[in-house]
Amino acid sequence: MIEFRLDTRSHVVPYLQLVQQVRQALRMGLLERDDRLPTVRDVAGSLAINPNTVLKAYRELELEGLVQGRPGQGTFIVGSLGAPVHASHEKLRRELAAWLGRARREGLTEDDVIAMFDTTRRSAEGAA
Amino acid sequence: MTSVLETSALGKRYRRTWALRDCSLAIPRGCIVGLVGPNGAGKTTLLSLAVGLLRPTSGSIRVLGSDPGRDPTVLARTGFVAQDTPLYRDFTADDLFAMGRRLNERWDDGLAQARLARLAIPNDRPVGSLSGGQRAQVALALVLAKRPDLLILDEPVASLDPLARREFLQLLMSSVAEQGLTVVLSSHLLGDLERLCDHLIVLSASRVQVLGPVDELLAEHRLLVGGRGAPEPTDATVVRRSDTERQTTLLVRTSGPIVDPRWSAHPVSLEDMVLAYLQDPAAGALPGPRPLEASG
Amino acid sequence: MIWLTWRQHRGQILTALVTLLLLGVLLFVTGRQMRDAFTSGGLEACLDTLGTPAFVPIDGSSNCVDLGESFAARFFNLRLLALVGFLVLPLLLGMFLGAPVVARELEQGTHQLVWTQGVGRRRWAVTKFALLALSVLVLGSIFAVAVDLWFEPLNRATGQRFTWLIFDQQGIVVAGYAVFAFALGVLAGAMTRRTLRAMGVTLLLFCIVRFGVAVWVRPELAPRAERSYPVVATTMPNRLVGDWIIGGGGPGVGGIYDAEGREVQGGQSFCEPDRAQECVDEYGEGAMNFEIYQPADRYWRFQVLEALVFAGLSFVLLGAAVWWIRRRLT
Repeated sequence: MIEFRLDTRSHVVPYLQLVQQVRQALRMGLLERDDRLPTVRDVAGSLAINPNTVLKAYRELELEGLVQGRPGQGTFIVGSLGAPVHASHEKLRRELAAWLGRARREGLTEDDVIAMFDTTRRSAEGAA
Repeated sequence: MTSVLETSALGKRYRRTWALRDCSLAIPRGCIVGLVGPNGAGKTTLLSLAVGLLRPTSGSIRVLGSDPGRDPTVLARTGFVAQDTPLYRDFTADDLFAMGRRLNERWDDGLAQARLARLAIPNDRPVGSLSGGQRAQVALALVLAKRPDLLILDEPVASLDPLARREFLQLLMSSVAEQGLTVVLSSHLLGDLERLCDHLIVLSASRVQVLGPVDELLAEHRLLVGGRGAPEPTDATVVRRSDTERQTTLLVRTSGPIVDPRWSAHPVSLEDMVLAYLQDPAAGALPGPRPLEASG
Repeated sequence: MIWLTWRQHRGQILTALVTLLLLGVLLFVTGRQMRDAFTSGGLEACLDTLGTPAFVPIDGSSNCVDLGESFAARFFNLRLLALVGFLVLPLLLGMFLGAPVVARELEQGTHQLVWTQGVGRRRWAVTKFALLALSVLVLGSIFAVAVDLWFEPLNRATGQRFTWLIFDQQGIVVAGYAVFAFALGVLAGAMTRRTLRAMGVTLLLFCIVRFGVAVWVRPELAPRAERSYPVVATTMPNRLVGDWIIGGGGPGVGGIYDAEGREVQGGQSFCEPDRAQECVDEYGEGAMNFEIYQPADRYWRFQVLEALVFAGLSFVLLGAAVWWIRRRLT
């Protein structure tokens, strides 16, 4: 069983924080198939958080095929995030590393890089 | 009938001044609605109208399908905790529960007792001698044991210390999960809203300024930072603008992404969004009040 | 609602009961002293012998007046104390139970608690007012019975129980006053929303209404009786019977009239036959005393009627309080 936490200063909305925590626990092997997630009531009660938020997170996880609600029993892990690393991922990662190296040589700081990434990503989204 | 609470052009006037006017909204079953606004904006008036303590001057209000001012059966299905949790101070918790049992048909004594036991609150001492946090817990247990369909809380945690506030909200949220309640709560504490509420009503100067599902509101609002003089985006409504010599910051409401590269867009917290509206009661990203709708 | 009313007001009711109990002890002790003096001083025997004739000899040989006066004089201080206490206590009883009923709920905000329970506001008000009014009635009646027992020797010794202020201290009107003070307190509490203010208003209005009823309404509860009797006579009206002489003196309401029916002076005068000349000199031959009064045997009728007046007023006030709570406190 995992314990959820909530970062109130984060700009990530509460339900996504819960979703991310389950994903992370799956990646780290803290959760495995057939493990039960805490009940909505328990999460709502311990975090003092809206139960609808918890429900929404669990629904989202269910849509992703990671968990399944079993009536009267609870919500159980049915999927895994064993990180199937495709070859293409590795190639993209290498290119990004090379680009980052070049940026550093050009004198860009880490913040410059993040700002450039953000604006580029948004204009790419806008164009798409 | 999916609305638990519905108002239409609701207004309340005390002598010359309107405490609330033109309030039209509908609160769907099963949600938790946060009611925010400065002091005197009409929050308590709206909540008191909902439990029949006040009668509307104009418009109408329906709670669980009937008029709360005329139909006491509505009150049996509504739990109300007024500001500062008034209780008979010389009553013990047991006395208060005995009262609840005699005045409410659906009373669940086991529920009330169990909640107090869980919090280790003595039920044989006058509630006047309990701490503020314990009194609030007793008041909450008292309304929850009515097995209400609708829970209305007016500033329930305003006077509590942080620990008592957390304990109160924990009990509240687990009860909501358990009993499937609809909750309307007013609060000064904007920080709590994001984790508690899925719907939001901002009251300002006796009128509804903003309302809607929290997710939608957050998705629609963006903080834009750009150089001074950059033209305001055409596809967004500016809620608030602030300028320095070089830079302009906008809080906007928009339905799509901001594509203009002269602006960098940032998500905005619920607290910042509400504050932006409260700072300028005239700011209306809304064409006018519209009823809340159930979010999918 | 019954339980809640009892739980909320048991302190006040028990305090009132204990106060009444202490008062009862006091009344018992002083009352026994009076009763002893009444019997041992020969007054009781005298009155028993006298009976209740309408007229008694003027010479004082058998009319018990002297005995009665010395008895009353002996207990003058006690009567004075009783006068204050018995007039004020019904007011206090009603006021302290009535004023907080609504006002304290409003002061402490607990109306928001109790008016949002599953019973309607009207049922809350009606049940609560009825139960508390009944309690006040019972407490007031206990008080009235104790006072009546205490007063009996004094009533017989002075024949004044029908007169102003004495009438108001005993009998069932006392319970009526208490309930009236309660009802006034409830309504004042609902309207002023403050217990202390409600008490002030209650005090003021209670005094005004009580005064008004006693002075203007009470004498008219039954048509007044009149009688005249000669100034020169061997007998005079028996004052110990307990008639209420309303117009014993003063222009127009009673006095001494000469043989032609002209008023000579207010009040009454008597001359026994051996001193008849004095009266003839003063008022002329054939002068008559004239007085307006309510006969003693109407005492209980008046008690019931006045109690009903206050019961009716209380009912109206409590009805108004229910209306006010439902319509105006919103």
